[in-house]
Amino acid sequence: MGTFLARRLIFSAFVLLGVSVIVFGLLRLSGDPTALMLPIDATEEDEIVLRRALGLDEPLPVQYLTFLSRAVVGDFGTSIRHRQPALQMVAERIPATLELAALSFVVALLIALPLGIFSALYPNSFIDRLSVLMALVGQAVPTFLLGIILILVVSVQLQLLPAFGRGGIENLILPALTLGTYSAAFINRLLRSSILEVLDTDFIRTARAKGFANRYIVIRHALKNAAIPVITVMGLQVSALLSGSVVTETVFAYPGAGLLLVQALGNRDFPVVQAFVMVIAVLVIIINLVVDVIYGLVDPRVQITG
Amino acid sequence: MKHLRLLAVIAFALLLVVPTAAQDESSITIALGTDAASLDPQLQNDAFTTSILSNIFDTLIYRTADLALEPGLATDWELIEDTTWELTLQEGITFHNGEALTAADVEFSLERPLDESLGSPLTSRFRVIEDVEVVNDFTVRVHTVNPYPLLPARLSEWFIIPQDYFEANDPAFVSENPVGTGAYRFVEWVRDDHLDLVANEDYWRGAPEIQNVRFRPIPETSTRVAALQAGDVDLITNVPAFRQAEFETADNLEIRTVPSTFFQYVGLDGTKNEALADVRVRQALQYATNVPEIIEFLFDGSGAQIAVPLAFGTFGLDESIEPYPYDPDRARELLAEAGYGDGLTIAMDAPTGRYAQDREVAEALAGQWAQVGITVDLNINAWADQLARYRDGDALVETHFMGWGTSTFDADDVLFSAFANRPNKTNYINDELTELVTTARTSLDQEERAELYGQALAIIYEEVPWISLFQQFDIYGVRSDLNWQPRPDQKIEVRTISIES
Repeated sequence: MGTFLARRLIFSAFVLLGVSVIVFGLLRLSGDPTALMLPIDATEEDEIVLRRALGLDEPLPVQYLTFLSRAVVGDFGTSIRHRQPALQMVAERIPATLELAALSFVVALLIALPLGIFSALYPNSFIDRLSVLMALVGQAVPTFLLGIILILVVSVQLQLLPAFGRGGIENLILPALTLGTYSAAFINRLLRSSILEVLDTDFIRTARAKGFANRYIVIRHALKNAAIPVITVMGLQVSALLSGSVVTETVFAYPGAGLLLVQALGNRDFPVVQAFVMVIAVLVIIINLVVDVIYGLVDPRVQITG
Repeated sequence: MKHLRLLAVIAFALLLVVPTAAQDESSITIALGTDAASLDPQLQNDAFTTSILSNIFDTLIYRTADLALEPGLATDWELIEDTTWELTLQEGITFHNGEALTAADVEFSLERPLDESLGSPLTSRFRVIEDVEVVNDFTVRVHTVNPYPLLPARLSEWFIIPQDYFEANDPAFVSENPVGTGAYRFVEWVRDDHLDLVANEDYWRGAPEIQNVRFRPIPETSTRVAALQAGDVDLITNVPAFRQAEFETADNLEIRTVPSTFFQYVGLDGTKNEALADVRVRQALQYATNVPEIIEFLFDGSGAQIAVPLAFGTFGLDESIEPYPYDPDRARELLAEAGYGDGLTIAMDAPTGRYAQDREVAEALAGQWAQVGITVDLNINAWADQLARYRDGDALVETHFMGWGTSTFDADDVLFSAFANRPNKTNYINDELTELVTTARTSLDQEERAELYGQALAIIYEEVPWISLFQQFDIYGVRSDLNWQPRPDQKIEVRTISIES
């Protein structure tokens, strides 16, 4: 376990280095923040002056090394648009996004687990067909559209929940439903097929031969064995929820990290985007590590070794 | 029965979480399209931020909603030499932190952006200032590098900031904690969530009626409209033209519009395509452009055609100039005369995601021009790309669709940098025009200037260096009981708002 973690950590450092090169390079290819800041009648000289003041006039490799040497000690520079420390701006927003992602994950599980198990217990039943339909719709309807529809129905027509913003739990319900639906659809179908697959194996047939009830077999034996692919996907879905929060937060004007990212990208606010991507990269690496450790706990056949 | 009870419990629980809409008579919530950039007025160049800041800060000279200049923090301004303006400050004005406003603050406010290491996007605008001289506590002289008739107009844009406060505090702190002389004091800012202001009871123009103001950024247009309809906010900016009809049937909501200072045009570069160097081809393009149709179909009528590239209300614009009529036959004739009777292909750079319906306008133009035999190779660029090409100049193809917003409301704004200055973005050269506009730039006789711009516009009208399109309207959605009229410069001055009882 110790060597496993050590190797993973070294590997992760290389991943982060790669991510930093890619995000730095892509951003520089995407344009120039000074172009967006200056008045329309600004001259080329004005651009040069502003670039110099913002440290954007150095050759790219020099800019990258400066960025890297500061990033290692946690200094991601100052936001070009807001003149605030970039890492602090991202860090301030992470809790709001985690709150939203966590509740969306709970929503996804609350919908997916009962539906998936029930569909596997009674394949081709009415509920199973209904859940296929829901999965199709849940995955096909864009997050954006679902969010707007929920706002129009629940906030404008029924006047039940606030249309936007962050505050109490009431502000989280609609965004979490919007964001959780997609993952719910995905997990639900995967759980169903994975249980059905396990139900076809020898040890289940043995259990059946012993005369156990179907429900007992599914819950006691099949579910645990069907869990591995589902856990993998749930780990991936946590990452998907984080990235999905970009659209959801924009629709609901929810002040999380996703909204910050969209605006920082629009403004070519390089330091904020870089800080955001690095923070998310670290989070995803941690989630994947946790998923791998959970495998070992759920399935004793998975050996976590160096 | 059991279900019914459960339902009742759920319904009750939901009632508890229903937001209580701001029905407080002295509070107002305003939803903008984006959040403020920085609350340091000299470190931003952004319409929404300026709108918020206009409530916290004042200017030396005030521009009224009908674009006239009147006293602000300065009671009087006078030209005492060709390059020297003397301003007299009002006495007894204090900043929100208690500091008294003196000439030293004015000197600081006008000279600080000249420090290039500040990284202010507005530095270029201040370069005309040679020096600010403090005569006494309430008199300053502004020396300009050359005779500069636009100074009063510029002084109506520039916010006055307190010197001691800015010098004593860290820039990052100042840019989140503004202190001005304005009608509202800053209370709190949670980025992308809300920005709160409270009435300044000691305001020199008199205490404002609305006590508490909350600005909330809602980037997604549909959500912004929904928030108004749901009663969560009282005033919203940038309602899409096609949604105006919904407001006609709502009994407590209204649409209020105003022609914006922004106009749209297509720049033509004769050095990149020789056909465009021929004035007949440029006129043909203007004749082939059906602007009323674009305004009607893409903006639901919320726009006004312009005859020359200047916004209404601009100093120097003769508003009696009639736009070119839509006349495709005349366009075909002119093209045939110029030797392009068999057709012509031109490329166009057009942005997407910046102006309302920008992409659609470019496509409509391509469609209209196709009818007279001009094929348009359309490059639709994301806004940042379009702007990068524009800044570079050389990167633009032979025509580009863009918008231009004025802040001085003076013809110099467009005419100098777009046509007289060299190089300009369309590489346009006309010695006579350059002479007229350059003379007007340093003339201190407003009548002479108006005359010069009249002649310059006559040349532009004939020469068609740009295709003049239209000015859009800014469309706001408001609660019907708000007494408020929008300004053409997008500033929402909350002190001018009252609520009908």
